[in-house]
Amino acid sequence: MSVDRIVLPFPFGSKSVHRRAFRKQLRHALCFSASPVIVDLSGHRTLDCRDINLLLDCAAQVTGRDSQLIFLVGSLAIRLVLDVVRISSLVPVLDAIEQAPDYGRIMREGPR
Amino acid sequence: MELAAVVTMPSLGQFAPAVEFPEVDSPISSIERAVSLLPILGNKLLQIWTDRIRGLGLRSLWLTSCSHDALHVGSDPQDPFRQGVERLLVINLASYAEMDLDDMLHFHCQNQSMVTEACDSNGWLGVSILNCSVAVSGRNIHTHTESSQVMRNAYPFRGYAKRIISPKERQELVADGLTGTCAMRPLGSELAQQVWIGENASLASSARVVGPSYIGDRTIVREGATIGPFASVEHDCVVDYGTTVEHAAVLPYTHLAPGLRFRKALADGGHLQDLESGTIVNLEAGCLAHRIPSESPRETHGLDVVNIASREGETAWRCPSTEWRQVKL
Repeated sequence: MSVDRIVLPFPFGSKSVHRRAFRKQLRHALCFSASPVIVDLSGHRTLDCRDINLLLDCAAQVTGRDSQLIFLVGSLAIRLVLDVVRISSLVPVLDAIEQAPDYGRIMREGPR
Repeated sequence: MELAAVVTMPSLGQFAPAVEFPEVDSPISSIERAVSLLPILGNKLLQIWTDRIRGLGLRSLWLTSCSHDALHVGSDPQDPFRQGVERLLVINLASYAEMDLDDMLHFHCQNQSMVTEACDSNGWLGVSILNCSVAVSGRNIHTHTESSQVMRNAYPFRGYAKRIISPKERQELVADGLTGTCAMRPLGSELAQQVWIGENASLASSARVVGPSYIGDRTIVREGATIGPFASVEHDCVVDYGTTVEHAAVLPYTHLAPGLRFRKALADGGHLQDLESGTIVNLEAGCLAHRIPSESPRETHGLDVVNIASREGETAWRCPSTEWRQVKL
């Protein structure tokens, strides 16, 4: 069964105004989307302090909601950073968007 | 002089390209070539081999750097072949082996070989004995048999040996040292079963250490941090509040920020290498780890290199170069 998904590109290294806009978009998507919201981190290989703070903020946004959030990473390096900061134990991390339909299984088995 | 010993060190002249971040000068990329120079559970591999060489009754050894497994002899007036030695014991500092060098020397003499190389079931160990007639001026002696035209005799070694070429192999040696699988013991006091703490290490009351684990000299482990199992945090590190280090190694002078989890990884300053994939990650940009400036000057890109302390008088070797250097034992 295909599921409509919302994919939000992560605002790497952008200005605070763009980050604020991203937060707002994410909040809106989590409120009104019945399908998983995917934050797309692919195409980048490093995360700076602001990126990590924003990702932690994303993880906090989904806490206590029925909404579903997925981080889509494009490189092993990003996945490793997410493991180090323990975000991957809070939010499922996928390597490719094709894995997203497996979200139900991920939720049953828990994030990696 | 009948026998002389040479220890060949990895060349640290330049960085190898980083795996994931070609634009970043990563200390870990140089670890790939110099992993054997880093302390392992507080022990220095060079010191271990030095002690074995001292056991042969030798009073000095030569140190030289070597690249591509080739030892260039006869070109430098300081090298031992210019000093009239008959036999040369060459140790390539890329493996840890609990080897009786005296037995290997007897084997070499009994078999009247030109070259004897120690090997185990996995191949050559980088320990050789050469007759001086093998070495002619200006010639490269290859420390691996495949590349040499000289007939070599294999000295079969059946004891504990571990090649330490990669951080993953280093971590395997750490695990063996912690569990007593090999003779290398962590340098410190055993506070609990398989938990070793170095001198002046500081452990917060709520920090948790799960054996087998090692915490090096002057390392600080803050509140809520967890070390172990199978973790080694070398000297002069800081593991900040709530951070977990398990099945992982932290190299000297590394500060790990609060609330992190290091698993199956090697952390060195602001970089991390995943032991499974070999991927190198820059953690400094995310303020997750950084290099602690040391008080003493350190060479070769933050690697805490070699320090041979002789029993009488200190002889420090801190910067391996391509030249030959004689060190008194």
